[in-house]
Amino acid sequence: MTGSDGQCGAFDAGHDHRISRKQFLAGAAGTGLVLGAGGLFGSDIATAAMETTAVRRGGVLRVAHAGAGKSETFNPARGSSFIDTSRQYNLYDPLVRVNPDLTTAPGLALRWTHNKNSTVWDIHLRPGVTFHDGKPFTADDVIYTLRSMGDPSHVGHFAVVNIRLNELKKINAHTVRVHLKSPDAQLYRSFVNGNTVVIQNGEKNFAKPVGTGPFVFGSFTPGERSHCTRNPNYWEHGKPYVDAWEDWSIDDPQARLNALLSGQIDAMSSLDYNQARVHQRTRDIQVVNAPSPSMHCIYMAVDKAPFTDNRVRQAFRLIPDRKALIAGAIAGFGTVGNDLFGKGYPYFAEFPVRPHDPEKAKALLKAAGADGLKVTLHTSDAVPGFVEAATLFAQQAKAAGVTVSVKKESASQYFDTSTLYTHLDFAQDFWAAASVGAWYQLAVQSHAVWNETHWRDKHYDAMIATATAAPNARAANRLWRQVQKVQYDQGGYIIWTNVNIVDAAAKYVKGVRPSSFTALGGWNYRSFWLNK
Amino acid sequence: MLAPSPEVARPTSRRRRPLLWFFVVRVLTGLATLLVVSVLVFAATEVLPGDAASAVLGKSATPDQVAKMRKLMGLDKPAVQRYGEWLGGILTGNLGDSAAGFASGSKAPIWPQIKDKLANSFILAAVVTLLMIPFSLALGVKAATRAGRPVDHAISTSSLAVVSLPEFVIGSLLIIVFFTWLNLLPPVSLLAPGESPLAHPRLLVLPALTLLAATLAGSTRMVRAGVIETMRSDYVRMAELNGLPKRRVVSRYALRNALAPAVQVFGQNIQYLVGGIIVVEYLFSYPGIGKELVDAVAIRDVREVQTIAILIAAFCIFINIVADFLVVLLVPKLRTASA
Repeated sequence: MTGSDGQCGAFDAGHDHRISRKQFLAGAAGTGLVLGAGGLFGSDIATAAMETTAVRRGGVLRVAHAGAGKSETFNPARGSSFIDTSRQYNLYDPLVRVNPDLTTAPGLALRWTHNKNSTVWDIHLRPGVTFHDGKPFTADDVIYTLRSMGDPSHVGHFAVVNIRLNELKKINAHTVRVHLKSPDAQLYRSFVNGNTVVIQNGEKNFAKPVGTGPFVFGSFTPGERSHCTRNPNYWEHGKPYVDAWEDWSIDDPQARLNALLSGQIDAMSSLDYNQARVHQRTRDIQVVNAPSPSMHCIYMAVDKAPFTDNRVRQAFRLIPDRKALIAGAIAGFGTVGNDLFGKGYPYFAEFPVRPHDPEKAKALLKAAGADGLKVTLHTSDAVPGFVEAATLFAQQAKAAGVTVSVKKESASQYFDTSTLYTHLDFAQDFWAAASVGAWYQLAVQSHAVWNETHWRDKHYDAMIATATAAPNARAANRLWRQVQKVQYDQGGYIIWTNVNIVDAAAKYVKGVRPSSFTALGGWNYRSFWLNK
Repeated sequence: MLAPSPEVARPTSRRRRPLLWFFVVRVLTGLATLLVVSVLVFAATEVLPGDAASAVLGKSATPDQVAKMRKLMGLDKPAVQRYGEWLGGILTGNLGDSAAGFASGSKAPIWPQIKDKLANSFILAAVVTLLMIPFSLALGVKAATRAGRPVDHAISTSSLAVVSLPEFVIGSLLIIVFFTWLNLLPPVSLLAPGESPLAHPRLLVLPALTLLAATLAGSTRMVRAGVIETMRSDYVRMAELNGLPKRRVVSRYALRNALAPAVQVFGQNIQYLVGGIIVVEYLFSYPGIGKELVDAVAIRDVREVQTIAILIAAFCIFINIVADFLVVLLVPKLRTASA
């Protein structure tokens, strides 16, 4: 709690956050709710203007994103693109919300209490909440939601892998008891994502989705547009401010920006970095810019030569001139990475950033018998900045005597696990995850679905499990530090930047606070209002 | 399918109704071409890497689930059988279900999903065509009758410049001029699902201008060349020597014969529009068949890609037949030669 408190106070001073602040304090008191220091990026975020003028209600908020074509859906089990996530957060509610500074606040769950070794949790739900169809929100809905996530193809499946789904118990209308397979002191951190929002008991086909969220489903054409109206009974009093919200699918970044500049939309996610630089100068739109724990990386499969030798991996981590990569590939919208995931999250280990040191890299490679090395770096334009970063890295590698040839793979196959993804020995990735622990579960555990560095170590899995089970913040800090130390010394990741989240909104859109967690202030349309 | 070749038919009917015979032969060869195209389209989509089942299930799906989805979508059947079902479906008016429907656990027939998009693209193409034909005729004739003079140079040079620019460059330039500088026209053509672009004509202006610029230049040059060539022919010389006014010579004698190659160019341009429209629709986010095709390819919706491809092919062949037919109607020499 200490350390985060002052920061929270600073962020929740705005009038529209007073309620959640109060509930948050009520929730935190007397429970095991652990909040880490969220102050790493604090000062950047705090510069976002606090709204002091009276809120103006009404109007239609039109937001555009890169779409996912025909596969767009309101079904949280399926949708994983930006536009899907935007819809999930605004039609439904998560159990736990993440504040712009990465601290947590109650969503549909008010409090989380657990037994001594955190293997049994009680989730205390918010009373008096109704679904859009008028049915009350109860423990049955949460149990149904968790069970639906038991399907391994559910995008949010990993959140329940540690839960004994058959033993979920309704204690009363607003309390659910959860038994875990192994201790987890940060269970609530797993229920902050768009894919882990609460659906209604019995919901199956999502043709006319029903949630508890700030907006009520109206119409939806995948790949084009969704239209939802204000939920007049929303539990967060007085919100949302706009009468309706539309999400539009505009794939081309330039067309998306043009739509914003011409007033055909009011806000957009994923502003091109170079365009962001231009419009920060011209100030004709709001550039919504927040540092975040999301990262760009180059990964090495530790079971494939030459990366089996840790000296080679260490040498490669000395190759990139990280500042130059950030300037060249992402127009400066990032901070230097220290080869670890989760800057800004609780328990992130602040080990020093490795310098650009080609001489030392050369010496390490020579010691490993790998001088004059030739490798192929696989890249793709699936994520903006990848190809540029790969090209720059290849140039910087020359100084260390390494010949890197850059191979561009098809964007549609790059993240396809049946062909390329997790099968490449030297490639790039982009990561966002809801906590340090979540990332280790997804990327580094032996059986992690996206174990791209092929890091398989039973002993290490046990270390992650012990850290996950840490009973208090102090122990967690120490144990996660040990876990991260191993990755820092021996891992297959070159995490060269923590990349900013950069979006845009028209100047008349108020209530937009940059969030380190996710786009457009955490998809927080309930707090947006139109001053036009 | 066996298309009866012209040689098999009795020569008497050819002589009696040459125009009708020409028409029948063109339609039949068109259908044969379409059949060949269907095989090519099917084969091409077969070799696309990845399949719809794994594309719609995402990267966390287990092999077991992918196998189930493949079965549900009918992707586990042999290629020949799938080709047969697809072709049979098209012939009986059943275009099948799209992969996106399977992803959400329900059925989504292809036709209702593409019919509005086809209509939107058709409207855009029709607007461009209706502008292109009179403009290219006027400009082409003007340039031809003033051949070698400043007007001709201006028209020829500028059309040469424009024809060498790709659509996305023309489109971006138009956006800069009409939106960024003048702020007159919307830079994107966003339409609500189910809305017709005819209800918002402003949205059609920049996409139509882009396509017009890309097609007008080429067809103007062809009309110019055609008119110049005809103006040099003996019968035009004769008409001029007989003292007929120049305007009359051009409109009554030269233009009609010059139109024959022009009609072919118009036909080609309309077919080209179908391709160019994909780029332009993306640039302006115009909800037409181009975006639909791109979306379908993205999720490896093979059935929908094949269906759209074959519809586009059928349209191109249809335009070809119409153009050929018009040429024969326009040029009496061709009509009598076939008899």
